[in-house]
Amino acid sequence: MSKLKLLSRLRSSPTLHFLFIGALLHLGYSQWFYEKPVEIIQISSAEIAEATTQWAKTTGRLPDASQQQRIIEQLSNTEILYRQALANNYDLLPVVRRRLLNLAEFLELAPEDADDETRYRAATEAGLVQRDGMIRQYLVSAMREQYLNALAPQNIPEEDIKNYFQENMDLYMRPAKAKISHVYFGGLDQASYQRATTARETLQTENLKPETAIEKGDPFYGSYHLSNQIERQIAAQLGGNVARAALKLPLQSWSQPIESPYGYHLIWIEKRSEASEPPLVEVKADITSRIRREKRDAAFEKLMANIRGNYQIDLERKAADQI
Amino acid sequence: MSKIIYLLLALTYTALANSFTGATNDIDPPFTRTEQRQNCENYSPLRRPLFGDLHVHTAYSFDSYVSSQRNTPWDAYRFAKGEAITLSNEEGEQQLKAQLQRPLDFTAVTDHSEFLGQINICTTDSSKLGYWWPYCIATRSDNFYISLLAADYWVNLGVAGTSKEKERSFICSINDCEQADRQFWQNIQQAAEDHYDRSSACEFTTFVGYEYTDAPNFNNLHRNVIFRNENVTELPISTYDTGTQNFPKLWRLLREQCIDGDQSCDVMSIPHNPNLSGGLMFPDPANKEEAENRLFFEPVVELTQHKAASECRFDRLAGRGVGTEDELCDFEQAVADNLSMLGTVFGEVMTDDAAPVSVDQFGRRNMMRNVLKDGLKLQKETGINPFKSGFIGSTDTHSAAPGSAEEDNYVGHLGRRDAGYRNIQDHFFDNPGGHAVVWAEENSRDSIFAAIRRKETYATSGTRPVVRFFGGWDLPENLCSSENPIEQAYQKGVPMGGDLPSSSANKPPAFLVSAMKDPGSPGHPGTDLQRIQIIKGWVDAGGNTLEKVFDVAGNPDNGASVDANSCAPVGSGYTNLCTVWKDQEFKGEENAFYYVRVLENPSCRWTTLQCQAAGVNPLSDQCETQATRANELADQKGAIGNVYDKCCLDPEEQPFYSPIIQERAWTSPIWYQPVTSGK
Repeated sequence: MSKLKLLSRLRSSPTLHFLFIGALLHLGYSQWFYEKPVEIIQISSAEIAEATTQWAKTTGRLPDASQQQRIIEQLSNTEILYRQALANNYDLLPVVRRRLLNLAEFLELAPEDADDETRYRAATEAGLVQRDGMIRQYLVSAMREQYLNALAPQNIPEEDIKNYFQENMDLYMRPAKAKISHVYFGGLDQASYQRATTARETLQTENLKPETAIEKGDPFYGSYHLSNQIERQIAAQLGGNVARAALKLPLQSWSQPIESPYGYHLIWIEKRSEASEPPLVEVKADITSRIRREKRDAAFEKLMANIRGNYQIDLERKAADQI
Repeated sequence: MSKIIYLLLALTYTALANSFTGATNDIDPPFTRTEQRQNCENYSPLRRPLFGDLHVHTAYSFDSYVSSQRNTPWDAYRFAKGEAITLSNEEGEQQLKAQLQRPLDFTAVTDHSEFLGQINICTTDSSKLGYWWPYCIATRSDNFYISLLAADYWVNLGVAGTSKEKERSFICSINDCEQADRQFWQNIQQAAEDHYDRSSACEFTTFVGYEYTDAPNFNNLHRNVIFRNENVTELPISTYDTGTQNFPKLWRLLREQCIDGDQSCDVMSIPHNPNLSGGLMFPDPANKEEAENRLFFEPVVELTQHKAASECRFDRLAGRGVGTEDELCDFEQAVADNLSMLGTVFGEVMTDDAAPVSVDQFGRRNMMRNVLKDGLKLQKETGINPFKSGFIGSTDTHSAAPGSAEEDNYVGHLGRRDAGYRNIQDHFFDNPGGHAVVWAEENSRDSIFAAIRRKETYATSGTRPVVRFFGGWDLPENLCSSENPIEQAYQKGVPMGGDLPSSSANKPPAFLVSAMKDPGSPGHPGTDLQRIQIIKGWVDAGGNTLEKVFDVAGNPDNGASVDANSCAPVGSGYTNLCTVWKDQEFKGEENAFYYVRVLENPSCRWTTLQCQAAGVNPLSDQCETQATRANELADQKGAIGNVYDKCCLDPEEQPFYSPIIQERAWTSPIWYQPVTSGK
């Protein structure tokens, strides 16, 4: 038969038309209209209650609505990770195999002299992969770890580090520091105060610097010179008044007598640095680690949210009513 | 020539400038740097006092968790740095806010190595099978009685037993305890790293550590194991590795796995509560290796903490002490000599093992002064003094509250078991603990660790006086009035913890001691000092151990006291004291040690303050009437038993307790040995 005649026959055959249109419909349906059956995750009210109780014990309060929702999401995530792990054959991990062998022995699922393969088979046939809590935990952890490793960004752009640094400066800000010396006058009475006042006049008149000025006062059994110390550190040695003065008074001149728990002090502030930003290089490692962790965790949350969308989460009626 | 002079001047200027400014880039410190960090900007060549706590428990410890304590190592470090944390109240509800008046400079979290993994399984993951094991459920229970059962279970399982091989919990048969152990151990390291300030500010230091918890028949043989840096053993070495009553094996394993195993690993173990050891903490060493290991691994002892002080013991009612006549040795003593003293519930002691132990039955070496004396004697006999211990204090808080040793801010150290009214009812004779104080060049791990190793440390009973102690042959008498006493003291003598160099000249050693009162904090002024004492111990020609207490500065009869209604100080003392004291009774052929005890003026004990806050004044003759009323009120709120009766205890009928105390500090000793007396 010539090709022309064959084509003519095809054009005019209802049966062939029927078959051709049917094939098109089938293809189109399976591609665009067919809905795959949705996997269902069922969460019982007992599971929710237990997780909520644990949360409350840890935090000391009951969860609000959004926190309760979060608790349920975590329960869903755990189940999802477990199923994903099974789908990826994580039940073949050595740690799971070891656990199954131990369980088979403990539960006497196989004869005493059985070899490892026999015991392993007995454990899997007994459904222990699905029923054992520890195996479940292994699978969930392994799957989570896999995702986290894959989602952790390898390189954090410099720009991100700088922005994080600026936005969270309160975390990294260095407090003000001072380098001070002091002349000490023992006793908290008027006589000591007067001695300190008279000595101050001498120090100013003779323009004495700390090294020689110290001799004009009483012996002090702590440090005469404190270098690069923050307010708290100065207060620990000379009390709060001196510490506050060290961060406020003018530089390189002798202060009026300032009272401490030990007596009166004339303070010389050699230099002072105000509260400052640390060099980025000092905190870069910390920032990088924080950003990496935050990005990884955010990506993981997004991934799990997407995956949850492929599941139908069924809460037991009682629990659903309470949300 | 002019160039040489110029160069010399420039070098001299640089050296002086650096020593004055504290710049560290060119300074070669007297300790080895074993870690990567920024140099500290506030390096002090003459050292400065740093206050810390090296004995802290969090929810990772079994006895903390069963007491409804839920704070983690991270929370403990935040607390130490001055942040607020939440603690359990007496009903087990996480409602109490706790915060230090002043942050610490350094801390180590030291959770119990025993049961780390098991507590992890019991408390963190409900998908684990072991989580649902009955004793794990009991551990997590909010019911007070059930939690006591759980505590009893853990203690008997792996702490207080006497069998050489310790039994593991059944949990380890159904869960991987080693993996859980590892996880918690890594968390402990991570928390320490997260809170360690490696920047040039050097504001706070953490140490990785844990507590080795052996207590055969409740005789305390515990030690806190503290690592120098982030290089640590793979897992904490516990009594499961050494067996019970075998702490020399702990040292051998630490040597194998840390000291010899990794060049950058260094570690020490710090024993605590010899007062509760039933005399077992300081036995004569079995051999030279054991003596040398003790000297290497245990440079200091925790002299004071929540469960009483271990300097010395004097029973007021008996009129005598344990190897001493020192009446000031009645300070913060436990009546029993073992850990059963913790078992008080609703005001009643629950076991006969916690019965008071008489002076005659009390182990001599439960008290460190006797241990030091016996060490001198052993030195004479064997050539080695195995008991050269310096002193630190700490808290042993099980509420994740390091440094919470403030008498007027004491929230308890045992979670719900001593929260609120339970502290007065069940833990009346306990105390807030003390501080570890080190003289270090900077606030970094290497500097602090080195300070502890050389014993330049002292203990305080909770306040923060600043104490210096030096010994030497040529310390001038007028050192206190010179312009640079400390610099001279370092040049001409040895600081606390040191050994007087041998001297053939038969002249007495001189000791410089200075003390400055606690500067206090806003709203909480420090208490004036009353006096300084030097305690000398020695061995005479007949081999007898002897001791004597010398008052060297201050005034014991200054008449200071407290107001009976407000506890405000009455009278004054000293803001600082300094003296150079010579031992005129010194004999060159006698081994000796000297340490300093600084006493503050009297102040109210925490029990007095809390009783007064409840309307019961121990210092009032209406106390019993007030207590009856307060008990009724407590009963209405659900308390069981008489809560406030102990507030009215008559100190004249008590061997040790007093509503008014004298806070104190104890320096590490300085030792002297004659030239031919060995090590």
